[in-house]
Amino acid sequence: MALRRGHNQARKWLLTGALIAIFAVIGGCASTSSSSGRSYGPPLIPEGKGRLMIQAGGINEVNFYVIDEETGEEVHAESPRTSGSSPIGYESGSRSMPQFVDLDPGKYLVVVNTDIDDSVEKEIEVVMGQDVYVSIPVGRFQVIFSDSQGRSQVPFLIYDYNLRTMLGRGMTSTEVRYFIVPVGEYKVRIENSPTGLDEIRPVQVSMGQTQNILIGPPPSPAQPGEGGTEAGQP
Amino acid sequence: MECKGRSSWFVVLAVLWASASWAITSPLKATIIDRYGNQHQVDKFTFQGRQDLEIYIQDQRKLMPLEKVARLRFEGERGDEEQRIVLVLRNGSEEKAVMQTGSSSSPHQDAVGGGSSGRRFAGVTTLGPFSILASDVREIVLRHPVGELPPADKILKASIITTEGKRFEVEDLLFRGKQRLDFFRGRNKRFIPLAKVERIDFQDGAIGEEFRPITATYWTGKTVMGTVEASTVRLSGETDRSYFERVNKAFTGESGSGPFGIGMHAVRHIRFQKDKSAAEMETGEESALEK
Repeated sequence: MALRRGHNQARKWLLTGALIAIFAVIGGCASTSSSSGRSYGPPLIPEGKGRLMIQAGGINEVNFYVIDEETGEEVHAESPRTSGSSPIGYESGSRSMPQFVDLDPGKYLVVVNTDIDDSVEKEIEVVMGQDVYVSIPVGRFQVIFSDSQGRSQVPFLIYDYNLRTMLGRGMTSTEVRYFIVPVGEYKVRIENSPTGLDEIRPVQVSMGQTQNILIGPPPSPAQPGEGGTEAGQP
Repeated sequence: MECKGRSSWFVVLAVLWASASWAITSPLKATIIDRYGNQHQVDKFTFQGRQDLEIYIQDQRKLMPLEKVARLRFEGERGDEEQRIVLVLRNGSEEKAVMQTGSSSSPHQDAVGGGSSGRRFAGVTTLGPFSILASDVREIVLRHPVGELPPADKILKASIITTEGKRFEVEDLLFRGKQRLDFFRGRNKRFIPLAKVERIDFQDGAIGEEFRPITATYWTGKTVMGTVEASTVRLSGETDRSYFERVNKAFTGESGSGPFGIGMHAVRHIRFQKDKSAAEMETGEESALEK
């Protein structure tokens, strides 16, 4: 009897010890900074400031700036993306965290520049010690142009859905390249007079979704004898 | 001990973060009346997630902020791709326009991914999230906060001096349909609110360059420098109409002899005339301060 009681006591102690160890491990992992000094989440909001978080439907890299509504001065700007018509632009990778900026409490105007003339603006109020999430209704699309040589770079124009107003320019890429525009419906036009090419495609941009527009001949299926050992087998 | 302290700090911060953070959504409220006469009281009202409407007034594209609109009536049929709409603005004026409401519910055969389910008004009702196709709506009445004044619309008057030395007196001056001038500071796009500017001076760009340097002087004395796009080269894929408008109608307005339009490449100076009411208010403030 006494032996069984001793057993139970020991099991209880073991369980308690295991639970403490688990909590300690979780507590250590949850810490935002590691011994190497690298942080795994957003840092703490500095004293006396509030935080503006940009939510752009999963797009973690937009060009934006913030204007103080009281003074009219620009207090912060970030431009990580190149212009849509630049021939050197491509997606260099994805950020894991949305963009954010710590600001003094007050009223601000957040302006997000897109790849067309229309920008998206939101008035916000930053409160000390708090996060303000600003939802930016933008989406993205990609134009993949291919000819007999494969994917190539060609300029194109972005119009409104009625083809009445030209809103912006773009350049396709041999790499992955997205164009960020306000949510809505547009048309893209690629014209190349010497080759007689003139393509107009509707583009539907929804928040948080990406649309790929394929222009040109579809990739030809692999011919026997091309790439792979199966073709050589009897 | 240190670990315990860390974890407790984490819990405290997590609780604070969860309680303190919130998302900025649309503050607009609206009553939507559908084609069957049903009324829906909607909060956080948006059109496709946006707080503006893409409309065409006299064939000119315009983004109309919903905060300026008091009432919106659709006069077309459900199956129409674009409908005539009547906008009653909060300042009492009425605008007739055309708006895209139908079509495009399925993506093009060459499009992969994305796609939309049509043009929709959305919001939240007491029963939960709400959305309705624009083609199913008959009328929308926006409910703005009581006592909140509608955004003031200033009619800008300016003297425009061209590169040839001609002078035009223009009323209701707009840059591509907006009361702001988009310009570039380096490769970053910014804007100058025309209502706050005293004058804009345009310098000549180098031959063959598509950009012209500008200097804008605000009424406060602040100056802003940058460049504006002033290309006259026709882009491949540009229609006759869009090319003409881009090159010859950067600035539009009303002159004594009728509609006015001028291209960015042809402007030398713009001198704005101070709004009389604003000037009176300023002088009133100054005299009050002196007393």
